[in-house]
Amino acid sequence: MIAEEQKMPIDEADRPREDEDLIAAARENPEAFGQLMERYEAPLLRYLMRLTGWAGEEVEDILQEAFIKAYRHLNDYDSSLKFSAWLYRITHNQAIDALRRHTASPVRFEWSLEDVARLVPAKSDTEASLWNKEELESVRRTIDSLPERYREVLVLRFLEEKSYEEIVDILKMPKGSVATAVKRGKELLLKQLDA
Amino acid sequence: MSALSTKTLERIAEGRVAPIARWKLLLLGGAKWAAAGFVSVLAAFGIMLTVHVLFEIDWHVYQELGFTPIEVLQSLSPLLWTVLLALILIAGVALLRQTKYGYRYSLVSMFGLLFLSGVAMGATFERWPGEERIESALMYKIPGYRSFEARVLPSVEKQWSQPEDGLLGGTITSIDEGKSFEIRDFEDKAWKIDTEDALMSESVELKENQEIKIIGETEDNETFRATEVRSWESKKPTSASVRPKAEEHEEESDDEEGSEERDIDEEDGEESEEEESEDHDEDQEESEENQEDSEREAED
Repeated sequence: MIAEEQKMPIDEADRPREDEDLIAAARENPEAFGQLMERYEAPLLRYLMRLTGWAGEEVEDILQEAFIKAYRHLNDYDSSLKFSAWLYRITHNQAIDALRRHTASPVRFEWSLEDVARLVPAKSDTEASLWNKEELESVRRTIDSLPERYREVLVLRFLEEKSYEEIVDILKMPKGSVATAVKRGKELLLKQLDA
Repeated sequence: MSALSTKTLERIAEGRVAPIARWKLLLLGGAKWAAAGFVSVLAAFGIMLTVHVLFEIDWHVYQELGFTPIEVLQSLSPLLWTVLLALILIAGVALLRQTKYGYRYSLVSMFGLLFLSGVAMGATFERWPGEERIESALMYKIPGYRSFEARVLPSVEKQWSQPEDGLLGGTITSIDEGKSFEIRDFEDKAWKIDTEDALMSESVELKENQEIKIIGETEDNETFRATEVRSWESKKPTSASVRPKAEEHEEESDDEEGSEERDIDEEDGEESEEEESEDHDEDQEESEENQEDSEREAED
């Protein structure tokens, strides 16, 4: 072990700590969990906004709750899963709970052109760049109107660019069901946009 | 550190939030696995029992009495059992899904797994030498087990608890000198059995406490008119001439005279037929001799 450490290149010590190391440290000290939160805050906030269609404090509150929940269940994390997938799962469940609880309409998330273009590949970048605000709004409404099970897989697959295996672990669905939901969701989205 | 992370850490500190102890999570996971395992074994056991019955029941009786496959299914699958088994299967799959990686497997594969385990267990149990001992221990040492079998489980007892369909089984309670006896069926109901026109297997000992199977039809709520009586152990027809229900009705009136002559042992059916044909040959020889004698007399 000591010999291995001695063989390590000098800049290895400066390498950002792996998730596994931070998790082990966070079990003893919440400050180490702070580093994990820093690492995943931005992608998870973006994911929450895409999933819920909300923005601002609403999504920040959801994420805060998700982080606290993740910290409480840190000992339940199994290293055979990707830590990001585990964290996405907790955040996803928290978001679904929030979506079911909320009746008021909070601040809306503005979809970017890139997001829309990734979800609607038939539109070329040039074509997409010509879309006016009304058309973008129409696409956003269509995405929001998709049933939850389709919206979540489309966001994870095409916007978060997660692999099928990761989506399986995030949504706790069998791979076949994920693949079917992606296919049907895509078909439904394009059909509704054409209508 | 970002504002969100800082705020979250503050909340963790203020609320003295700490990771849940590993042993508690292990205990919870273990409980989930135990529940899933128990219900899955129960489901597999239910399927095993059904498979076991498929080996045990008298299929030829259904065939001979002209039951359609749907009627066979209806007669062997009591509603309560079907509902119970379906619920156990659903619960088993639902609990398996709740285990740590249960979500990775589709419902079809989980149902398939439980079903195949049940079939495999059933087939293994069937070949296991101790099977009969377990069965008789259940039957005779657990009070009310047979009645439970006859009412709830798909079983041989269930098969022979369908008087309205012509199949009745039970234990002889008294014997009248002559052509009837009384039995108590597996649902504890008393029946008078009219055996006047019945094919009677010689292996059936008409004595009290003897278990028997009877094919026939109900005359009234308490009387069952037997067309065939066989021992409980028997899984073979009494003779090759066991006829379908419909034909029996037509021939009933013609059969009255020769009923006693048709007392054929189920095991010895073929031998008896041979005996009959031997008798027939002897008669023929006798008549030929008589004819020769009479010819001689005429010549004299």
